[in-house]
Amino acid sequence: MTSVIRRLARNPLFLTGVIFLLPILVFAVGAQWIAPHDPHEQVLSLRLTPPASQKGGNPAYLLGTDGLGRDLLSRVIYGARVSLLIGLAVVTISGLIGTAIGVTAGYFGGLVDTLIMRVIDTFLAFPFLLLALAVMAVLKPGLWNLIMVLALTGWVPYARVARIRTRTLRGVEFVEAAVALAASSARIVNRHVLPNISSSLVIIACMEVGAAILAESTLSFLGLGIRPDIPTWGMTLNEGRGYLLFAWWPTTIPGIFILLTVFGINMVGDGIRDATDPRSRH
Amino acid sequence: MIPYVARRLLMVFPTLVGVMLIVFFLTFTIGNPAVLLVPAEAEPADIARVEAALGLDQPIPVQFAKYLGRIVRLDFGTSFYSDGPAMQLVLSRLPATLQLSLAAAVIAVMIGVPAGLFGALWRGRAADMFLSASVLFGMSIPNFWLGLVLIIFFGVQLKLLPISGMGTIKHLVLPSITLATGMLASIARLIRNDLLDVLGADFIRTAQAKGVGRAAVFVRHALKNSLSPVITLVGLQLGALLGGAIVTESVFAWPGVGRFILQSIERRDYPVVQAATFVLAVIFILTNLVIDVICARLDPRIVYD
Amino acid sequence: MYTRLRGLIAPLIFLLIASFGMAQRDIVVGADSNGEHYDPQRGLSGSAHIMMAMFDSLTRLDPAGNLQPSLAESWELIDNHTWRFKIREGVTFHNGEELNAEVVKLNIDRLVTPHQTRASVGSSVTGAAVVDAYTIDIFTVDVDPLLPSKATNFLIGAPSLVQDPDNDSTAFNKHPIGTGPFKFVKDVPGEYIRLEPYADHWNGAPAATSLTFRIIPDRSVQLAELISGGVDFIENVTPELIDLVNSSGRAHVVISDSTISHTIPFRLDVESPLQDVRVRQAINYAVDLDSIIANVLSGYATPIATVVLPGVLGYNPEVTRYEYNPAKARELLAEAGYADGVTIEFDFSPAIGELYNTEVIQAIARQLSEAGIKLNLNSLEYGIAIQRVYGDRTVNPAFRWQWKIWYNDPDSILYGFYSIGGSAAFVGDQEIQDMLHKARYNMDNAERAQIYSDLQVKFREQALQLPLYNLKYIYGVSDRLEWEPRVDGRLYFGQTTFVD
Repeated sequence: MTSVIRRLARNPLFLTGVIFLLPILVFAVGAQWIAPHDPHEQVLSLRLTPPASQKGGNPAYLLGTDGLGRDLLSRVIYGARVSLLIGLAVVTISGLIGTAIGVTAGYFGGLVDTLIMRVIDTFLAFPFLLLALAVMAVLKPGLWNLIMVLALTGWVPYARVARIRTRTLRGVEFVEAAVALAASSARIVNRHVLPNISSSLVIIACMEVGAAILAESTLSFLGLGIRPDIPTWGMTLNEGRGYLLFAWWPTTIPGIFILLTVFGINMVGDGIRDATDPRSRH
Repeated sequence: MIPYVARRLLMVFPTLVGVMLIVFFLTFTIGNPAVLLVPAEAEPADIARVEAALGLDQPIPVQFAKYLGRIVRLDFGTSFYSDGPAMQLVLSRLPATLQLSLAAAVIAVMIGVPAGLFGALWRGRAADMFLSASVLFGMSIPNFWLGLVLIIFFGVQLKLLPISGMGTIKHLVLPSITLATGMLASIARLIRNDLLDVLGADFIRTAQAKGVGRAAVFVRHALKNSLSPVITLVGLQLGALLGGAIVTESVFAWPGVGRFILQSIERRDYPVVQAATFVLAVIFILTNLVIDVICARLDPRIVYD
Repeated sequence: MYTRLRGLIAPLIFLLIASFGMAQRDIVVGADSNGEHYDPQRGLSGSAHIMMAMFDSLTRLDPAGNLQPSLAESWELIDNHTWRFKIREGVTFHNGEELNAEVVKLNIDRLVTPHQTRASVGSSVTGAAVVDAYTIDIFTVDVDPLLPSKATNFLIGAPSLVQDPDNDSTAFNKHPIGTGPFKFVKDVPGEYIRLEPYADHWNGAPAATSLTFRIIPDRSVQLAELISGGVDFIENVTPELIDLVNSSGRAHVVISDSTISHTIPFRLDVESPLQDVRVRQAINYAVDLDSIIANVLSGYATPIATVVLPGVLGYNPEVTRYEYNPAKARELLAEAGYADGVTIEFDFSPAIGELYNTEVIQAIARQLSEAGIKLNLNSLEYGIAIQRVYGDRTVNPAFRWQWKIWYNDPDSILYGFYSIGGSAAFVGDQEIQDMLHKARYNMDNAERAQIYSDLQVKFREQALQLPLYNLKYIYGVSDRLEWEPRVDGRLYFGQTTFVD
């Protein structure tokens, strides 16, 4: 374990990723101390002020203001909180569910596999929106219900990839050997399967963080999001959509922060992948 | 292989039945279509009349029995809105969707696979960093943003390409590029990752030790072995694209299935929603079957019980 | 392979140029949707413009909103249940069939057939009888002063389509046939509907050689198409983009008043602080609407004091908005026992309320919070919002809504918002109900106007809503066209001429 940490500390990808992510994490944790303005404060007369570097910019609003004259920087800083929570929670929940299901299907094969795969087909076949609407109509729109909706539809890629990789491994000598030695299934999965499939899953998880943050934007566009006055990147991105032809910043700036997060997380993911690679251990 | 495919095809029916049952009950949770069909001035009596006309006033078990009876005969009923046969309406939008998603998939594979390959080959070098960064960039751009920016640049300013609509190959360029970015990114990343995995594996080291050239190792051993997860993912994403790229279709005024489903869900046109779900389910199931078969072909290590 | 491909593409390109090409007198409209239904008894608001091009109605409104003859030349009230219409002679449908009283009766029969979903809703019609070849009596439940106005929506379809009142509207939808200035050519669902002028239109053929409604769901893209010459007309230009359109060298904007009242109705029939009139008044005092309109909406809206707009029958200019006075609002709240503030559940949908709706709501919520009123914003998907108001009536005590005023008469909007059983009404006041009823079935317009005028005083005193504004319509029109906006907001191209 310590060797993994040591390797991580030397990994340039991991470190660059951390450099990207650190400020965003600091934003999320310390928003109330860092944000220059109250993210809810509206100065209607300063609506759509461009970023300070642009013509017509105002030094008090470094990244400009949105359609209600709210400070974009402060909204983005506060938005980091909810958006990171959405991204990480969705990925964790769907990743765990998907991996468990996929490995089970791939390892045991046969009837278990067939049943699980048909359930996956059933899940995939639904229009995502119908599912989201149904959940939001029965429950109330809100942060955790939104996370649930996204997780509910997000576990399938993990399951499918975990399954196919596990199946591949089943045919590999060392797993066959372990099976022949009558090792318990749990032990085989833990010792031989999970370490060997984890890198693909980590890669998917890292990509899905961004997707989940963006999906929140789509849902709020349809009125299925969380309350509009809670600043999130997805909501800010969506609110700025109508201004894009004459004011690029309200939609582009949250977009840039999403981009930085995606960069950071994927680099950290690559770094972790390198550091935990079972074959680079010798 | 053939008995396996036959068995899988047989399993299509119970899956479809499951999907259609769940859809029926989901539609009940999202509201009464009659309320959306009548004008604002409608009084409760008007709504009740429309409900009766659509058969929505009957007890749910009765409606369910009728629904089952229709579905079994592949009769999806008529749209609440246009009175046209629901299935036919959905199928009429399918070619546009096929055209767009296949174009996007081709672009994504053509760029994504080499990008991933070279990323792995040049791991850690500047070229790899650049490729990774571009790929991540493409992935994090929201489709509406990219679509509009492409429209403004290539359509309005340069006047090189049509702004919106469907018709010529030129019309296909911007929407398929917009749609391809996300898929391209996942392909490139997964390929790069899997190649790196495989490159560390014993048989590759053996090959290298035997003095087989680096490029030859890549193509003969590594690439072949890393394809199955990639194909799985491509299949999944292609399935998702076929289900409709709502945002891209809306931005480019592309008359595909995605927008149609969105519209039908929004106005609770249940026959169309049900027909569309059926079509999507068939597409997903068949895509997945094809993927599994391809994966098995490519990678003999996959065990089929 | 390449030449084969080219062989395929060349005709495609040709087709495309042929269908969208800008021959001198073609009109292409960039529309949000086409409603996808062209049966007058079934079509939705999305297809209203298109149906108006293909069909004529018994009466019509001129651009200023005044009632004019159309397929009916004149009309009179025979008795309290009967309006008699004289039908224009010599009018033919696009397929050559002739218009007469019998055809009108077939259409009215269809209107009152229960399963036609939009049939006779709010129209009070019970049936019709042919008097002679060109005279028809239309019967109503009670005396209906608005029937001639409502007849502007009685679009008349060809006899071959309406013969059987029970038939479904598939035939209608495949090939709608009316007497209107444009005839149906082709409908490609999800893409466009194409119409051509009808040379024998009774009011003269239109100047355009074709009229195409292209579906472009994204409004930014509609604008991009307009300033690049891809379309000739779009319905909504964002205020901030007016200059861009006007300086494009291809198009200009046309601005007119809308007849849609935007408002926030309150529910009095459920337990909430809003049952106290002082809380409702406090809300009215606490919102600085002028600032919201000036800034968020760039001034392209007119604040309203009640949902009855200027120019509408019975509009009372004496009724004014509550002035912006947060101190007064706090005072009223304290009197009502909410000195420490009050929380109100509020429903809205991003799809209801048009321009910058979500921003306006947040600005209102912010201003209210400064006066100690916390608005809990619940965002709803469009269908769910409609459901909660018109369907199961589970909407929260305050909600964002809008209502279009038809034929400059407040009957429909006031019934909708204030009557007992009205579709968006949660007030339940018997006195209001009696007054509305008295005005609805009344042939004396002066008396009706007086009742509506009195009602508005009552609405204001009771602060039954937080009235907001009516927005300006900002159309984007190609410089090639001379197009006139209509008070009712419908897009009509029958009289559009070209700049040469």
